[in-house]
This record gives sequence, structure tokens and C-alpha cells, in this order.
Amino acid sequence: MLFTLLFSLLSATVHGQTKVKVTGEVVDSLGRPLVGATIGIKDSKQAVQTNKDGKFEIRVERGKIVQVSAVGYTSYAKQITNAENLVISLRPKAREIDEVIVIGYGTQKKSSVTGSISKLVNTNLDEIPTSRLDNALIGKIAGVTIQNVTSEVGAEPVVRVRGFNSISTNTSPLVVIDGYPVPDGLSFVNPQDVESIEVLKDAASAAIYGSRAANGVILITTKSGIPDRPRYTVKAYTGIRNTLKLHPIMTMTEYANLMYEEAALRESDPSVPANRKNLFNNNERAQYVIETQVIGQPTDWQQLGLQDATISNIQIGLSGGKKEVKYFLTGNAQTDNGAMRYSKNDKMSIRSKVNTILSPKVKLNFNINPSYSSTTRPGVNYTDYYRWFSYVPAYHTEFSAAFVNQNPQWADIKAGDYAQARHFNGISYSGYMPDGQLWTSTGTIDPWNTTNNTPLSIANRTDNTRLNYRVLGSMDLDYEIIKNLIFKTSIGGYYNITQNRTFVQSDARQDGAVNQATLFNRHYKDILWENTLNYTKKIRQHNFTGLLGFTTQQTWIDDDNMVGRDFPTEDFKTLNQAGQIDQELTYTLKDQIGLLSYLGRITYDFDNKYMLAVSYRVDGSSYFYKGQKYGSFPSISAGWMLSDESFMKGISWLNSLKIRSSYGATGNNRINSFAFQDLMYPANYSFGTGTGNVNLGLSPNGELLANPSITWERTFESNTGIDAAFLRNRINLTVEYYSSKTDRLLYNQATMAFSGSNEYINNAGRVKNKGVEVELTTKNIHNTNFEWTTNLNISHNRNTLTELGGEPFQYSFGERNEVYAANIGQPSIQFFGYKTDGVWLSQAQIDEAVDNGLTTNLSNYLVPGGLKIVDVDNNNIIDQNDRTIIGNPFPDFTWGITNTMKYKNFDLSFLLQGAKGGQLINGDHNYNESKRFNRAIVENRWLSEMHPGDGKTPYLTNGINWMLTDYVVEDASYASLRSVILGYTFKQKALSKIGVKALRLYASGENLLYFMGKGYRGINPEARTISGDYNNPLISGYQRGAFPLMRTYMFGLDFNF
Amino acid sequence: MSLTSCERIIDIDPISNVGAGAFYRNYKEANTALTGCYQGMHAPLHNEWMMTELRSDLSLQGVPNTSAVPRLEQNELDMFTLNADHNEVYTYWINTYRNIRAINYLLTNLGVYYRDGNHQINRNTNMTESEWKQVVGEALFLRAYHYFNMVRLFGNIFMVTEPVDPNTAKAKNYNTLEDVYSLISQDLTAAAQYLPATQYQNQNQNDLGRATHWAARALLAKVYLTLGKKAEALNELNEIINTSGHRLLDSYSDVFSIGNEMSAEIIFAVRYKAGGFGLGSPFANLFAPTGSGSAVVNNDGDGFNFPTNHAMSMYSIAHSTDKDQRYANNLAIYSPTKPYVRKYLSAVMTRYDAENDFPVLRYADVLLMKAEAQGFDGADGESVRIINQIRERAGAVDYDGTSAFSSRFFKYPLAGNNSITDENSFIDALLNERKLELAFENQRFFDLVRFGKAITVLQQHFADEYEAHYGLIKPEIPLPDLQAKVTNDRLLLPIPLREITTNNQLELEQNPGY
Repeated sequence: MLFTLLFSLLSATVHGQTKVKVTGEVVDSLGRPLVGATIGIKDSKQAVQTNKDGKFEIRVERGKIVQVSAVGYTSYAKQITNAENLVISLRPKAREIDEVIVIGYGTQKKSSVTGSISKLVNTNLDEIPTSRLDNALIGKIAGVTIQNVTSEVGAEPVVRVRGFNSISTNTSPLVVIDGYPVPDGLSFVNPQDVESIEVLKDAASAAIYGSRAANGVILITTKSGIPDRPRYTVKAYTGIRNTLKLHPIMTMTEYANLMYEEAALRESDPSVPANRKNLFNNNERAQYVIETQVIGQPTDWQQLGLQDATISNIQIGLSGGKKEVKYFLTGNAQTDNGAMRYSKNDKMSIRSKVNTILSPKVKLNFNINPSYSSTTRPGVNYTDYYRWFSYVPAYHTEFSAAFVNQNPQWADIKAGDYAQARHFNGISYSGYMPDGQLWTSTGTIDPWNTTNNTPLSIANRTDNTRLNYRVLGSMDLDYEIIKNLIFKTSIGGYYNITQNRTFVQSDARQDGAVNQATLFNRHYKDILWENTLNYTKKIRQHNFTGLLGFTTQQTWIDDDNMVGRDFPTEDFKTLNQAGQIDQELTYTLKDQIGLLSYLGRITYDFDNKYMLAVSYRVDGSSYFYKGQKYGSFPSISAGWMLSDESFMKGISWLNSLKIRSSYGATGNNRINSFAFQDLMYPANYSFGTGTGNVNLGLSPNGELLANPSITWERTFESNTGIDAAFLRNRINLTVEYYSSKTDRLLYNQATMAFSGSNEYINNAGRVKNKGVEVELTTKNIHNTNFEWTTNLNISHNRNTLTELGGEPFQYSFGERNEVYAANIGQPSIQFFGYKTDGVWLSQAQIDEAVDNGLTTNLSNYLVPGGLKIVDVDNNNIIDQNDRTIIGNPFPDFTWGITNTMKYKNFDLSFLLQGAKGGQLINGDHNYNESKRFNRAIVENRWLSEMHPGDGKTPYLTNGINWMLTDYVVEDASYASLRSVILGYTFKQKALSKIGVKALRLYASGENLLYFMGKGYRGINPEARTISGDYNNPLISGYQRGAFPLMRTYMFGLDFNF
Repeated sequence: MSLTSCERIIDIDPISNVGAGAFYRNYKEANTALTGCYQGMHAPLHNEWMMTELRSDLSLQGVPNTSAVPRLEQNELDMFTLNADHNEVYTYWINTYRNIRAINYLLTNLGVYYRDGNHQINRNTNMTESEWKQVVGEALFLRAYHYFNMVRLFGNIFMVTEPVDPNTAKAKNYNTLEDVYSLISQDLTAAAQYLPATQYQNQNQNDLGRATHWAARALLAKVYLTLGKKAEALNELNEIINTSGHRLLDSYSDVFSIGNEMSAEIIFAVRYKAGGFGLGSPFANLFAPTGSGSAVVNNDGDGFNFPTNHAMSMYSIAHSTDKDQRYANNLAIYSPTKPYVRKYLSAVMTRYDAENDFPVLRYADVLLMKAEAQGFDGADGESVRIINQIRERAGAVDYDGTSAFSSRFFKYPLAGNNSITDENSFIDALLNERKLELAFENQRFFDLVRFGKAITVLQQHFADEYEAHYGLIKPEIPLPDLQAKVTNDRLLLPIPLREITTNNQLELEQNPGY
């Protein structure tokens, strides 16, 4: 990213004191001209500036040194010996203390920032092989964790700033694009349009956003035009993806061999009764016969779920203008085919930005950003492929069709038809088993009793597409009322039409299923009106700024859902031909949300040495009942530039040292609308003769009980940070320590089910987060031809629940009733269950334990080969009181290291990223198919007394439900070579002949290396289940049937002219 | 923009759903809410068969070597090996209480409270007295219906009669059986008092399906029988038999035909309606055989409530002409290994959207309850006559004394080997008849418990089905161990562990045996 093009003269002969003409052009690192750069001569007052093309001309005495400087860039110097033409490329000042930082409702010099704000300038975010901005940010910013819970294209990752303050339904940060809060901002904005990203991490910085800021604020600034002749950019890339690792599933044949090997081992063990020696059952024998003798080969269902994945993107940009009118225009098109069959994400967007100066007092800015995206998702989950049996083929062959034709119900099946498990039912089987013996069934057999069709036949008949049409538009007007007092009013709108289109053809999931179309439309309208007064004043070394503001935001959400079915053809795109409209699933809903806010801020600094800022915001929200609507969010922060003190001046290795400290409050109101009252929901019923007539009914049967007293949740956070630069700015270090307390937590508190619901929204409880973040940038090598910069960030967060509405704990339950405990004084989420100590090795071992007084009221517990529970309370009774904490989902720390290297025209950047510590619950252990066929789960299992395996792995049918024990808790740590970008930039001189200003080629890769934690038996430690029961903020860390990690290779080019 | 208009931005009422606080203002609204309470019966009924039929000798989980989680959970209920964290038990519990809450919302809004063991009525005046009585009477019936099921399945339960807020809920312990039965009896007595004793044939045709005076009394009779108050029960039953206008239909299958819903035999049913209204019955698909494609019903079946060998053979179908018509109505065979319950089978377009109503109280049950209340009154007494009346309707012929009683379908003779001669043989015959007549109507388990036969019958059931089914389930439970699982304690379900765990203020006790 940072590199210099230098052209040197062949000779450096020194002549007399004659002047020579030096001409040249000053450009930035991307080859774009820099306007207004200063070209001076050392020890002289002579200076010129570059013109609108970045060109300059100056006469210099031989031997003098020319200095080139521009705001925000490192300067450049060269001794002149002869007349020459220079092309000077200036590097942006990296981590320089006077960067301009975007803050809420304004900007600030980095040197006077007193809160905790991380800034990321977009250098090559758009070259990381991903289609989403949030994915490109992984590992880049300390304190911001981004987790890809699925590798499906277009899927939202989970984004957290500084851990986990809030346990209400929405814990993602507020995303603000050019001042406009956009709910799906990270998926909306195109990575290439991003100029910079600022993350307001501490409460003092975020407090100016008051409400909604408790989970951090991400400010995205998009690129603007610069006064210049029209400049064109074209950037394009294309790439392919493949899976890193698939689930190690055995085929039926491999499984049969294993079962017979195990049977042979048990054969020699006298402790095993005769009927328990060979556990391969008759259904499995029939399945084995089908695979080996009817079909002849196993079917790899995981592969059938995948497709060749490609990604490609093109962006064309135009920018330029004069001082009075600047414009910036880009158009972008992208197509991203996911690795799973029928997954696809296409996007198109246009962004245009016009900045005008209408008069010396009036500025007008205009922004409009329409976009379109189409996301196709497969009709089945990857889990469904992963767990499908290998003996069922995708399609019938002549032979298998003839085979199933012997059952009269399937007499019409012919080659090429989808095969279904049920086709093989009701047939007598006979065939050779792995031990060479002929087996013949007594009577007919149903090898697999399932109503489900194969995932392929479902996916092929399902079209599941979401279309999004979005426009973000805004206009703002600045008016300088008197000198230094600027009034700004801005009005903006965000409009998002979402259309979900699901077409399911006949017989898709089950035989006889009629075709069905579900059309869902959501109109999301949001209007934001902001008015601010900004005042700046400088009196000698005293600098003041003041801000006053008033804003309103209104959101309207209209949903229409229509379900029609029984169409005469399979090619239907509207409901016109529907034979039946579903009256339950066809509905419209309307929701409205309002926010009313007043804000103010004052900053003061003395000579950039002592800094102080206070801010205050009051928010009123429609989410709360009368009397509870308003919340206030104050903040105060201070900084001290220690290195400017005279007593520090002597330390030559220290370039700057700043200490800052802040305290502030932020809020959260993101709960369901109208949670303060019970609502009546439709509950019709039929009365009357015949089959009855539908009578309209309503019932207060909501999932959540109402609570009229809920109000704002507040987070109070203190933050202390040190920014230091050493050794001529070659080492930049930022260390932050924060401690936050959230009170009046809004969360779904468990309630007694006999009250009619198991949850209600409450406003009780406190949670504490403490953490340390370190960002370190080192310029390891820095010379003309080679540069190497390393940026390291590491964060540690510790979350503690300190109060829960007076209750000692709360349990939340997953899909298999596994328990997630919130205990006071401990992390907000911990896994709660039985601790195990291997398996019961033999009946003798159990008998001995029982003789020693061991008792239990758990069914199915004292079984050899089943898990052995640790008697935690040491009373010799194994019961529910032995449940204890068996893990937690929070990593100890997350880290990222970016290395950037440049050698001549080459540049290389790579990101290592990972999380250490933290566990997950691997739900695959609970499911039949994985228990039987997944090698990672089956390996080394207990077989019998004489063959206890590793003594830790239970036999699949033995003993208590694994899901309730630590047996399924696994290490979620990982480390990855997340991205690598290798680029080559062509020399300007060669390009100028063909009219191109800059040309860059690059190749990049994602997940080229990946390391998983020890003991992890899945394939993607980042994957999490987040829907259904898992859409509960007090549940985290569950995964089941994870989608494989993806590895991406990409090639791109970028040229400007 | 003035400040008050700004305030309007954040002062919004719900648009799509009216708030419950602003509802129940007049008869129309109260009646709409009442309709909602009827629909609230659907959710608990969905898995009620798991708590009743599956735990009887009529059905089992049909796939012995399964490891599918829903089926394993059914095994636990079927084999009395469940732990307190059982999913389905919790689902049944919360779905029942969710509707009880809706009913309590309605009742308290109409001024009906239950305090200190008595109804306290504070009738509001926004509707006429007859309107108020109709809504309150029906709602009281629905509340009693739910509590009667709950108390029989769980024993000690929480008795809530008003919407309860989360804090109050945590301070509340179980109520005694006496308290709960007292509420049920009072609710039903009051319901019978508020609802007019209109004869079946005079009922408003648009209201068929609503709880009636007769439904309240029939349910009350069953409550009395459960409590051993036979005389009180008999009183209610006689009243129904003599004056309700309800009667036995001529044909058994007509009772369940979707062309004949809410017939004179049906005193109360949970009504379903097919056709994409969200009001369809799930049972056609739930009970149809797995993997049958569209051969039995469109969208395949789940193969649940799988009939036992005993259920398949209990109708003595050997003889080709004199056979029990109830067999063909209730059961069918898809393939040799796949019998299924076809009682609630009708064509569906979408899965779980069948038409069939689910009977809760019907006239045959009332007659048999009368026999039960009356007891054995001689081989030619009324009680035996009632059993024979039921059998006759199902196609039984007179016993000719020459064939084995079990190989053909006969009425009980006055004399001879198969006559009902004493109290014991009467009880056996009555219980057997209830089994045949009311099979898969979620009655069998409650009958077994009420007759005090549950443990012996279930132990025999495990023995009968052991070789073909229970012995194949892995890990294998030896028959004596399996039989030992059925204890008096375990006839009650556990209080859901989640309920006990959630209360961090009171130490709630688990039912003994769990």
C-alpha cells in the first residue's frame, strides 16, 4: 500500500550556481494527482504549488534540495543537480498523529481525540476476496470481532464491538454511513466505495449517538471527488472458491466394514451376550445390499450439495470537478456463486456524491446510492446433504428402477427418476455381508423409514430468492451564520424493498405435496432529519468547539406475505393461478418506530496539549411506554499530550506520547416494538354445521409477556488509552483499557411457563465488561526498495454478569434442551451440564460403584460404554445437582496481524487472524447420522469390556444423552492465514504512453492456511447456529452440521486514466 | 415542527395488532377473544396422544432401531423411562398454560375471578346478561377442560385463574389436588348454570362446536367418576341421556366421517378445518405410515401413534361377516410392518391440514360412563345392556353359544361362559369396551388409571410386545426391568425440569419417581 516510485538521474555532476528547470507531477500512491502540494526549496522562501493536474514547474539552483509536501502525506526531498522531470509519489502519513478522524457529527484531528476510536483507511480492503465489507474487516481492528457463522454467500456475519454489553435481541453495533444510520449498512455499502472506517469503541465517543450506541458505532465514510479533470478508474477481479474440509462421513460400505470389524472384536469377548456381538441390524444389512449390489457404488451426498464457486466483480468510477463542484460516481456489479448448490449473490450499485460550494457561506452536498441485490439460497441446509445416506442414489439407474418396480407402489419408477429412500421399502433383501456370509431377510424390510425426499430432489424443485432494492439518499446544507458558526441541516431517506420469492414445485418435500409460492414483500422506509449548530473559536492557544443538535428519525415497516398453492403448472411466478390462497399465512403487518433526540458537545484544548470534551444526548423512543420514553447519555473525556511537555522534550526516541481517559453513557432500545403491552394475535376457529365456518378470533397468546415498565438500557464505560510513537515514528503503539457496566439490561427473562409464556422482556440486571486492546504498528524495514510494515492487534475481553433482576441465575435452552447458564459473578453465557470422566468400561465397574453406594435417578445412566458422570457434589448420587459449568463460548483473546511488504513494484500483504480459547457445543454428536457415520465421532469408541476403545468415547446407543454433558463441548480456537494479497504496480512512465495513469495487478487468497483447536471434531470452528432457539442473546456457541470453510483464490486489476 | 408534533413521533400505538389492555370492551370483542380460546385447544392437543395413547397398550413408537431424536423422545414416554427434561412434556405443559392464560384474560375482563376457593363475580355491564353468560359459560368450560387434563397427567399443578405476572408467578407453589378439582367442579357447575339447556336439535346451527350445557355436565360427570363420586356422576349422565337430544348414531363410522361433523353423537369436539386456514388437523399426516409417499395421504406420514399388535388384534376380526366395524374405521395396514391409525384420516392438500374434528366427549362415552357410574346391576341389568348397545352399533350379533366369543363379534350373553356375571367381569368388559369404542381418542390411559388397572395392563403390554418391539430397542432393557419402570409414581408425568429450574425463589418439588 505504501510505496514510492523513484526515478533517479543517471549522473549527478555538480555544476556552478546556475538554475535549472525542474518539472514534474505529484501523485498519491494510486497514481492520482495531488492538487495543491507544495514544492519548496530548502533554506529558501521560494515555493510553488501543484496545479489541478498535479503538475508543477520550478527553477532551482543546482545542488539545492527540493522538498515536496502535502497535507496528510509524508514529505519528499531530493537534491537537484540537473534539469529534470520528476514524478513524485507521496505516501500517506501512516498512523500519523494528525490524521483527521471522523467522529459523531463532525471530525477531529487525531491528536485531539480523547476517546477510543480506531480508524481504518481503505487501502486494499476491496482486494480481500469477499463480497462484503464486514468480512473484509475481520482481524483488522482491535476490539471488533467479526465471526462468519456460516460460509454461505451473502450471509450476515456476527459483528461485536468490545464483547457483549447487551443481552437484548440485537447486540450488533450501529452502522452509520456518511452520517446516516443504516440498519444493514455493512451489507449495503460496497467495499470499494469506502474511504475510511472509524469505530467508536468507548462510551464517551459513542455517547453522541446516545441510544443504540451501547454496542459500539461503526462510521463509514465513502469516497468523495477531488477537484481535477475527470478521472476514470476501472477495477475488476474474478476468483474461484473451494471447500477447505468436508465432514468425514463413511459410506454405507465403510460403515458395514467397521461394524463387522467391531463384531469380530466382540466375538472374542465373553462378557458380550450373543445377541450383542454383531450390532449391524437388518435395516443396515439391507442398506448395505442396496449400496453394494443394487446401486454398486456409494453416493457422496456432500459433494452433491456443492457446486463450483466463483466470484467476480467490476467497478467503474468517475470523479473530478472544480473547487465549487466536486463529483464522485461509481457503478459496481458483482456476482458471487457460493459453494453450495443453488447459492448465489448478485449485486449492482451506483453511488454518486456531489459537493458544491454555492457561496462563501453556503455549501450543499448531495448523495444518492441506489442498489440492487439478488440472493438465491438453496432450499435445503447443508446439514441435509451431510447426513443423507450414501446407499440412496441421486437418480435411479435402469437396474435400480427395475429393482424397486417389484414393489407395486413403485411400478412406474424408471431410470432417471429421483431415487427416494422409500422406493427401497417393502422389499425382501438378500446379499453377501462383509464377512462373506450370505444374509437373507425374513420377509420384507424397510431399510429406512423416512418421509423426507433426498436433499437434491428438494433443492432442484425449490427456488428461493431474495431481492433487495435499496436507495440511500441525503442532502445537507451548511450555512455559516456568522464567522465560525455553522448551521447544518440534513435530510435523508433510506428505502429498502425486500422481496422474498419462494417457489416450491409439486412433490418437492413429500410425495403428493402440492406446489406452493410464498411471496413476501417488506417496505422499509426511514427518514432522518438532523439539525446542528457548530461553533469553533480559537483564542490564542485556546481552542473551543461547540455543537448543538436536534434530530428526528422515523421508520415505517410494511410487510405483506402471500401464500398460494396448487398451481396447474410447475412454472408459476405469480399467484394468479393459485388453486388456494393460504388464509393463515397471507397477511399484512405494519410497524412504526420513532426516535427524537437532542444533543450537544463542547471540546476544548490548550495548545493541543490539554484536551477536554463533554457531550450530552437525550433520546426519546417509541419502544417504551409513556413516562419511560426518554433516556439521557452524557460523556466526558480528557487527554494530555505528555510528549509536548518540556520535561519530555529530551527523550529523543519518543516522538509522541498521549494519555487519554473518558467516561460516558450509551443506551440500547432495540427490542420488539410494543413489548410494553400484551397484543392480540389472530386465532380463528370454525363453528357451525358441516365442516364449519371460520370465525374470527383473537388471543393474547404472544410468545413474550408484556412489561409496561421497561425503559432504556444504559452502558457506562470508562476508557483509558495511551498513544505513543517511538523511533522516528517507526513504532506506533496504542494500548486501551476499558471497563464498562451496563445496567437495566433489556433481555428476555425466563418466567414460569404456567404464566402462559416462558419469557418476558425485562429491564433488570447488570453486566460488566473489562478489556485490554493493543494496536501496534511497526515499520520493520523502510528503505527505497523495500518496505515492511506490521500491524498487530490483539484484544481481550472479560464479560461478567453482575446482577439479574435479583435472581441468582437464568437458564436458556437450546434445541436439544442443552442448558446455557447466566450465573451472577460469571460470564453471561456458560454451558451447563454434566462433567464426564470417560465411559463406564464394564458392568463390573458399574457394580463396584453401585456396591459402594452410587445411586442415580437418571434413566439410562448405568450402562457400560455410556458416559460416566462426575459426582460433582460428592454425595454418591448422580442427579441433576451434579450439573456444573462445562465451558463458555467467549474466546480469551482475538488477534490479527497484518504484514505489508513492498519490494520495488511488488507489494504483498497478508493477514493472520484467530481466536484463542472459548468453546462450542458440537450438536452433531446428538444426531443419528453423525453418531453412526462421522469418523470424527465414531473413532476409538467403546465396543465391549475387552475393547474399550480409548476409554473416553461412548458407544452410540449406550448411556445418557451426550448433549447434556461436556462430551460435546469442544475447543473453538482457530488461527488462519485469512487473506493474502500480492500486487504489482506498473511504472508510471511506461503507462503514460497509453494514457493510463496507474495500473495494478493483484492476486489474493483467503484461508490458504487454517488451524483448528485440538479435540475439535467438526469442520468449521467459526460456524454457529443462530436461528430458532439460537436466536437468543443468552445462547451462544452451538453448531450443528456446519457449512465447510471456504478457500478463495482471486485475480484482479485496477487501472486509472 | 412544534414540540407536540415531535412527541407524536415517539408516541405510537400498535398498528397491526390491538393491545390486549384495550380489548374485551363489548360482546363482539369478548366473543372474538372466546373464539381465540377455542383455537388455543389445538396446540396442546397436537401431542396429547403422546401423554395418553403412547403410554397405554394401544400404541408405541413404531421404529425399534431408531435413533432419530423425536422418536427417541417418544420411546421415553412409551417405556416410562423419561427424565424431567423431556421436550414433549414441556411443550404440552406450556401450550396448555398459554391457552389458560388467554381464558383467564377473558374471564377477568368479564369480571369473573376465583378467590379463596370460590368464584367471585363482578359482572360488567357492557353486554346483556345472556351474552355475558354465554361467553363466561363457554370460557369456564374450556378452563376446566384444560385443568382436568393437567391434573390427571401431572398431579400437583399450579392453579392460575387470572393472568399472572412474572414476579407473582415465582412466589407461587403447587396447589393441592383438592383445590384443583374444586376449581374444575365449580367451573363446570357454573358453566352448566350459565349455558342454556338447549336440546341438540334446537341448537343454533352456526354455533355447533361451542361448549354447551351438556358438554359441561358430561365433563363434570367424568370428573366425578375420576373422584369416585359415582352417584353425582350418574345424576349428570341421566340428565344428558334423558333430555339433551344427543344420541348414538346408527353407524360407528358416521361418527368420524368428515361429512357428518358435529353430529348428534358429538357432545364436544375440538374442531379442525382443512383448506389453508391454519385450522387443519395434523393427525392424518402424523399417524399415516412413514414412507408411504402419497399412497395413504398426500405429503406422506410420520408413522406416529403406531398401533400395537394388541390394538391390531383386539377387534376379533377373524370372522368375515360378523366383524367389529370399529376395526376398519380405526385401523388399517399399509404394509405388513406398517399398520396405522386411520381414525382421523381424510384427504389433505398440504401437510397437517386435514378436516377431521377430534372428539372430546361423545354420546357413546356418556353411555359407558353411565354403566361405570351405575356399576354391575345383573347380567340383564342396564349396565350390561349399555355395553351391548355399544357393541350392537358396531355390528355385534347375538351370541349363539357355539363359536368362541373371541373369534367372532358378539353381544354379551345373559348366561354361559362369556356372560357378565359379577362386578369383576363387568369391570373388565366395560374397560375393554371403552378401549374398543374410544380407541385413539386419548381416553385409554385415563381409563386405565381411573379403573386402577394401569400397572397390570401396561406390564402385560410390555410382555406382549416385547419380542416384536421393546426387546429390539437398544440398549436393550430386560423385560422385568422394563415392567418395573411402570410404577404408581410414574403414572404421573414429571413437572418439567425447566419449570423447577426457572424458579430461583422457591424450592419446587419434583413429582416422586423422577
